[in-house]
Amino acid sequence: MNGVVSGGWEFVWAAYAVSAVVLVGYCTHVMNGFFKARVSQERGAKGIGL
Amino acid sequence: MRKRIVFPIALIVLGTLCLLAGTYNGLAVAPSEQHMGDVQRIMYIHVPTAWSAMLVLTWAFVCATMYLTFASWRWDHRLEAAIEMSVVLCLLLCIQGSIWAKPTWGVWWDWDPRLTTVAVLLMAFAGISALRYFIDEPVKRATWTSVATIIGYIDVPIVYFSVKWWNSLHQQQSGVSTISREFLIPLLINFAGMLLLLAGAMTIRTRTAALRLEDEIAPPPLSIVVAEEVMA
Repeated sequence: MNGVVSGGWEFVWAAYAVSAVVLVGYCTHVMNGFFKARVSQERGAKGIGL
Repeated sequence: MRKRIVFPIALIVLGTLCLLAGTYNGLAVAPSEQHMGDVQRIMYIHVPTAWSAMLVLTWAFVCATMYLTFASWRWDHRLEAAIEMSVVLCLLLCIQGSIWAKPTWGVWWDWDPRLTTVAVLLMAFAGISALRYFIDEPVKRATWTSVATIIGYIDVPIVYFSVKWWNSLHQQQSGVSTISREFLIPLLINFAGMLLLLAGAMTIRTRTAALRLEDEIAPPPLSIVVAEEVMA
């Protein structure tokens, strides 16, 4: 024990991988939500699905 | 309508490119730190996430205050986007911090003031986000979540000053003047990327909130009204 952390690349990759998954996942969720809301509104305006 | 999300998508793409460049710089170009070694490279994603979270939470506070002042739906849509983004960023912050804590502190989690106050923030905003789904009446929903956001925001300055007020395992804030240029470049590139990505995602999420509300409060189509009259 000399107070210096050695190695640890697996933790670095894990942190970046989790960040990528969360950010990509959230952006995909946001875009899907937008397109669904737009389709729903267009259907509502046309009176489709009654 | 199709044109309306071209700009936010461009922001997301630009943000992603910045994040890729900053990550490459942080992982392959910047030197390893003297005491923490390569593990310190987590800083290049953890600190921009923390700065972005504080900014988005402050934006949520501004939106809540503006909604309560002007009662404009625009501010409620922005608030909805900001609350959701705050939850995502606080969750990400806790996960990244936990991954960094294990090799440096020897534990995944510690009830240290900084970690605890961020966990409280995550729980508070997850609760506010859930509150929006439980209230059906739009005005009541907007008012209650605005008030809850302002109350929840009280924790933000506590998070910031927690490392100064109490003994904390977490290090104190570093400034631009205390970080070497080699470490600062990837940090700032990733922060810029994070801001662009969040701005794009939040703009789209704000527009989704507006579409959903329009759908919610729109009068029923004429065919339903006619059908109901015929049934009567």
